[in-house]
Amino acid sequence: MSEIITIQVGQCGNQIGSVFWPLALKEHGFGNENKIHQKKSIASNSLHSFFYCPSKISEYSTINDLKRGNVKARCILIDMEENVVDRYKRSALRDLFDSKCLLTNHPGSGNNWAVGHYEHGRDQLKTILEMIRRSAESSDFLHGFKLLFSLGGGTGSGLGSAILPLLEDNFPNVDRLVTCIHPGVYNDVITSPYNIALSLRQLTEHASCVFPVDNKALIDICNKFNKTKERITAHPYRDMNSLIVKMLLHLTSGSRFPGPLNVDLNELAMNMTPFPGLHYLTSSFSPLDTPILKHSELLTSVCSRSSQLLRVDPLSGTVLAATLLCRGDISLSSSRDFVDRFLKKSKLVPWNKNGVKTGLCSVPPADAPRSLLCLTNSTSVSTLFSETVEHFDKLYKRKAHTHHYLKIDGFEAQDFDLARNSLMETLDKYVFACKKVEIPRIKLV
Amino acid sequence: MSYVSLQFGQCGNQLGHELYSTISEDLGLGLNKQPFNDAYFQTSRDYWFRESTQGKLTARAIMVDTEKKVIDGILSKSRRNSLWKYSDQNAITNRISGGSGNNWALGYSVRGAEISEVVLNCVRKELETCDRVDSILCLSSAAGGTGSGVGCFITTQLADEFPGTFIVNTLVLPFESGEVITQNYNTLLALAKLYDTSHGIYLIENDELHRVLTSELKISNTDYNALNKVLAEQLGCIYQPMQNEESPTQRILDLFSHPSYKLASIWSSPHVSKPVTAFEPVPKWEALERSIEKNLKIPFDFNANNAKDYSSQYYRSVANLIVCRGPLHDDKVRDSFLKSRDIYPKWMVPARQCQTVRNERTFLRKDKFITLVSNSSRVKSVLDRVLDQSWQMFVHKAYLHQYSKYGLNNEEMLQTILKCETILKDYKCL
Ligand SMILES: Nc1nc2c(ncn2[C@@H]2O[C@H](COP(=O)(O)OP(=O)(O)O)[C@@H](O)[C@H]2O)c(=O)[nH]1
Ligand SMILES: Nc1nc2c(ncn2[C@@H]2O[C@H](COP(=O)(O)OP(=O)(O)O)[C@@H](O)[C@H]2O)c(=O)[nH]1
Repeated sequence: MSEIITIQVGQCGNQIGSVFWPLALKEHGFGNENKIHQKKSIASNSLHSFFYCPSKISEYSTINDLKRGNVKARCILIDMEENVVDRYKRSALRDLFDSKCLLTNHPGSGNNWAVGHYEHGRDQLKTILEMIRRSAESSDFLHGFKLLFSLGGGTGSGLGSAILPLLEDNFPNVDRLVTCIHPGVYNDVITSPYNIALSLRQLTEHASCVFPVDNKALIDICNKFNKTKERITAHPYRDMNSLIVKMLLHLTSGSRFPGPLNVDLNELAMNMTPFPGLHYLTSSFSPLDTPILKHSELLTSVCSRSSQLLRVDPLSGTVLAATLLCRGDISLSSSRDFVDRFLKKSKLVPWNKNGVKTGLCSVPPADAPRSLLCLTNSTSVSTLFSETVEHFDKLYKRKAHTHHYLKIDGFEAQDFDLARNSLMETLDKYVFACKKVEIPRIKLV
Repeated sequence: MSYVSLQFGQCGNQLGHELYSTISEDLGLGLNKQPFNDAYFQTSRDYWFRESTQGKLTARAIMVDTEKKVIDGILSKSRRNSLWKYSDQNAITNRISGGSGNNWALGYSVRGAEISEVVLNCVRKELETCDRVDSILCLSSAAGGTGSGVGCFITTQLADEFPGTFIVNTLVLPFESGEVITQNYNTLLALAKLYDTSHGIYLIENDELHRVLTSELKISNTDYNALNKVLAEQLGCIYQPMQNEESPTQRILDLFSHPSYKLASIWSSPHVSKPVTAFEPVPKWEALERSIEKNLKIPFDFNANNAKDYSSQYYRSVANLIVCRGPLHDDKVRDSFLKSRDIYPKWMVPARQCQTVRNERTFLRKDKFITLVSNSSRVKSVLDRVLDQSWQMFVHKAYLHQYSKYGLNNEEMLQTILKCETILKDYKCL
């Protein structure tokens, strides 16, 4: 069972986290309602993937036990404002967060990547590294860092992306999985195209795997399940964030729980990254809402464009690699059937025509008997890069707002160009990845 | 006389557990009237188990994995089992550093090196408990990282350390339609390495096991356990004692008498689900032989002019071994087509080309069970497929950076491909 440290940066990252932890506990059998979970022992035995547990897990059965047992989330909360992190201190789960792992500051980053990356980076990275080190020392089998932040703001995108090289240098063998939230539109924060471009470069260079999701796609999914408008405005992000959280719980299920075909965290990056830097995976899972789905419907649903957490249609492009992770009562035969159908529905690159990785995890999610997660490395994701270039250029042509960045110590004018180049390079790589090379097999005589 | 087995990775461990369970079922462990004085029982028990202090039989097996989940699961199952168990000392993981990430190079060069000393110590101790060790059986998948990478590393070390011992690897090949994306590279790397160190390799295809379940047993919803069960019965049939408690090892050695031909496939018959057996007449040995021979028949090709001699109807073989278990009754014993001299190369010693061994004791309460182990050019198609797909990836330079991270450069990958092309060519020229 792997242990995973979660690093939440900025408002968005921490808000997603606040949905993540209660659901993670529920999945490990610690719901608020104290109901005994069906397979409690298996589920709770895996608790230490996400939580540091000083004594034997079998002694815990309620959240209060966890508190008394001094159980702590393997989580580092970072924000340059206080609001969101302060809410953790008042929440029901407050005792599960080690106060030594909370870092706040002010006055925020003003949606400026340069402030987050360089200014806060310079002041805070040392402290952050200490926090991570401490957390890593209390883990026995640390196999992954899971980072959560938005791309559009300043703290998450700037400081969050500054943490990546730090992890790479200090923990070279531990994978860095980044879930980054794209605004989906380019006008909610004026400088977001800059922030997105600047952080994408860091993600390309320093992450092991990136799971981009976008808010527009999440809103569409929420609307589809007739969540009434009022509810959405009352809790603007809650339903959206719970989609991200369910994806993350599914993604990590194979390294937390047993199953007939385990998928460890480090298998994901290996299987899904055919070339360095091409590690942007679109994700979709099923069921999104209705818990009872027939086995056969699961695959149809994850392949549909409207289930994607990123607003692209991965199957309309060329698929470089894909992963189908099954949870719950899905048999080997069903999973083979999923693979066959997936291969029929999609266009795989000729050098990887059977490029599907599969996994089977026996423990279902908390709210359904079975579920399926589909990760795709598809050339369709290049629209994320081309759109970013387009909106970046609109601003950068006029040098709009650049002075806010340039005045920050450490930020150089060439940072803009390097970021743009990196986007273009990634676009080229996607094209290159599909170029056919014809060299016949070696004939031995 | 005993076998010591090493179970590597998730596949190896799950398969190994099924194998020992099958053996214990065949021995009738736990049934009231145990034939303790039965020679078959005693010989077989010595093959697979040693007596532990608490009287429970202990498998002569060593479990190796880079992640403790699978082994933990099996150990806890084995603790609940009252008939036999695994030894806790023989469960080895290097869990701290993490799994092999479906990367043969990571498994071989990093995880293998980390874990090998502990494993070898354990093997040494286990061997000391045996009067005589007949063979070391290594079980693993080819596609993953631990089974194939760590498994290869340890096999190499075993060959150095115990040069007189017969080492055979059971290598499970993944489903063709993708289970692990780097499966073809990993398979070639494992094959190339094992060709230098192992005495013989059983190439097992998951697709074939799945076919047995779906089309012969008509089970539409299967799991890995069911695949393992099919394979475990085949291995059990090969390795259980022969008539007069003679060890099967010499016959198996005969299959792998030429260093260029180390691959064998396994088929068996009949596959029937239990309830049916009770009502259906037991098939004749002759029919069973025919049904396994079919596997070596070249698919009918309308374009070729189909000559009538066996040599053009059957795949060429280096050697075949037929194991029959169950009473002869008064069946006519027909001489198998596989005895025909034409399908073997000239250099093969006729007495060893196709051997049939029997034991009239029923195996697993099956009236009759027959298994064919064949070192033949039938492996061409799977080798060709794996080479083809690897070559496509290789010329597009896909995934190569993942291997070079762990010191396996492109040149070595090319050499590996070449080596496997050579293996394929040899089988083609048989
Ligand atoms: N899905 C989601 N998006 C959010 C959330 N909070 C903020 N965002 C998005 O994040 C972007 C603003 O970044 P934010 O995280 O507030 O800035 P930071 O604190 O400086 O990193 C905007 O595009 C918002 O749409 C949230 O809880 N969920
Ligand atoms: N027949 C069979 N194949 C398995 C089993 N478990 C895993 N595999 C196959 O093994 C491959 C994955 O390798 P695995 O053994 O899980 O990886 P490792 O633990 O890194 O060696 C896939 O091709 C699976 O189909 C099993 O129990 N039975």
